[in-house]
Amino acid sequence: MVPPVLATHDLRKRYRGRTVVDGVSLTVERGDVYGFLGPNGAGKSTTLRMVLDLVRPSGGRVELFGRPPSDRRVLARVGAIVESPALYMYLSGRDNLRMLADLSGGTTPARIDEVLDRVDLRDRAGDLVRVYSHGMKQRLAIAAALLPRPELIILDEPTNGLDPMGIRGMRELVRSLAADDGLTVVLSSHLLVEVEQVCNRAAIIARGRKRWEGEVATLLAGRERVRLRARPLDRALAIVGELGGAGREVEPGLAHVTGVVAAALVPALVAAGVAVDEVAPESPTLEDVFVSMVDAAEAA
Amino acid sequence: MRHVLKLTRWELWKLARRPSSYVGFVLCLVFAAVALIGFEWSQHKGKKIGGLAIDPSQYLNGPFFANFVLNIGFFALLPLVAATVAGSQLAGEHKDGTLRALLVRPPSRTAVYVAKALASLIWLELMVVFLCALALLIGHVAYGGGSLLIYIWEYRNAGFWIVPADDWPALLALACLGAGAALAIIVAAALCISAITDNPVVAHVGTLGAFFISSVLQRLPDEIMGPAFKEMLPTRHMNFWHELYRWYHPAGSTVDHHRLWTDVAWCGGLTVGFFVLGLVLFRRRDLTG
Repeated sequence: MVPPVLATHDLRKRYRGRTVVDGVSLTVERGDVYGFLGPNGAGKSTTLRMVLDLVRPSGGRVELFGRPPSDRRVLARVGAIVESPALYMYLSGRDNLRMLADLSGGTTPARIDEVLDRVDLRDRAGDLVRVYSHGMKQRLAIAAALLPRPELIILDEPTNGLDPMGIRGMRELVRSLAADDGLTVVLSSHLLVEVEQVCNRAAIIARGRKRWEGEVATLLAGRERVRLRARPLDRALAIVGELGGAGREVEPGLAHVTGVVAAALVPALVAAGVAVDEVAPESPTLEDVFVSMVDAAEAA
Repeated sequence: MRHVLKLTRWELWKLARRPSSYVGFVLCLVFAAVALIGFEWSQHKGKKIGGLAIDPSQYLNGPFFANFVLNIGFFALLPLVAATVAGSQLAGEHKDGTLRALLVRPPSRTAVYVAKALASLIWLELMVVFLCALALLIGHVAYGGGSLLIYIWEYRNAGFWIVPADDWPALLALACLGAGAALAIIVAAALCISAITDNPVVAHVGTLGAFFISSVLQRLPDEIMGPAFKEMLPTRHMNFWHELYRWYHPAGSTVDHHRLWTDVAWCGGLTVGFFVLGLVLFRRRDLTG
């Protein structure tokens, strides 16, 4: 049986008595573009640092390709960017790649040109990294991660600090890494639209604990709702309840209704004498689901 | 081992490419120039060197100046350079985030640590040789060549002796190697502190602070600071390389072997101790920066 590309089992981390990661178990299979979602401070970076052996777990374990990350050979199969791009400012882009490639097991000048082309930096490869923009540094860091032809690439908040064009380019690059290169990608982000657009699977983490893990499509499926504006709204919500649904007033005069389709709801409301101003079926975004999960975590 | 060699090569390459690495060389240049000014002033005042009853103009030459600068630089400049180079190795890279880039790759933390220690030692030795060679050049230009007059304060009771022009190049080369080896203790201490902080200044100041405190404690009277305690101070043993001068005594070697090997053992033990402590701390450390 082929082990998952990445698995964590009941992973825990405590700093000075404070639990920052609490029993997180994740599974990333080959070919996944896996979103790792959570608000700032949720424990995403700490989890990824434990995956890469930068931080020692207080409990639980990590497996990369079925091996612990302390078996350093397994890291030759992984490319990673943790938080900001880590580059030597006083070296040129090409020299950064030469050195990091050699430490990853060696590569050819042709391969360096290939990855520089891939991130569109070949023309600037001879410049010192000090003069690069943030977006260029981010792209160079991805080039460094790609050099040893990894099977898994871990990107921690890759669009942080990028301008809109940079964000768009980065998302296209991530998609291409999975689609064209066949890489397994783990993408940590607090930007939900990013995960929704790019990832097939995801996990949501809040306050150090995993709240959900699975297919992004599954998470959103079955959560369709009806946007309802009606007068009086409390009477309308009572009718929703009678029909077996549930409604919640989200702003004065407006409610989100689930468990009832619009086609059944409208005749019932009209028959009861409720004035219906707006009825619109809506698909929730990942952001809606995420916010409700994080709210629930905060409340707990 | 393969990783250590590869990493050491890259660490040296990084040191060579980093502009701040050359601050130490500039300091050496300034130090030698200041020493030359001091010598000139001393000559003009007609003072005798070290209070000796000799004609300074006879032995004030290139090799004497080089040896003088090496001995003064050993306590006044080179510890600063050693602490700066080694203290920046881990803490500096941690602060810049580049340590992450190294440690998410196959080489182990032990290999990274050992390579940084080796690169620091090699760079420091280059600096020692540079200081001595620069002083030799300046001294030759200013005063010419000739025999080397040896006068070491610790052996003042033995007076001074002259090393012929054929012999002093080897003696100075040995002295450079010995001084570099003695400074390894500062490299190890700086690397040890560098392993537990992400601020290189903490490593620099911490190491130099410890070095100067040790120097002060060593000079306190025995009634205040007992000999047994003084024996444990690093600076008490760092002059072991001065014994090398006694190999070149015209009356034959007068090396105090007991003292030499005791000091070498203390220096070696403390160096290895700091090195291993730093390695253990570095291997256990969480890299959160």
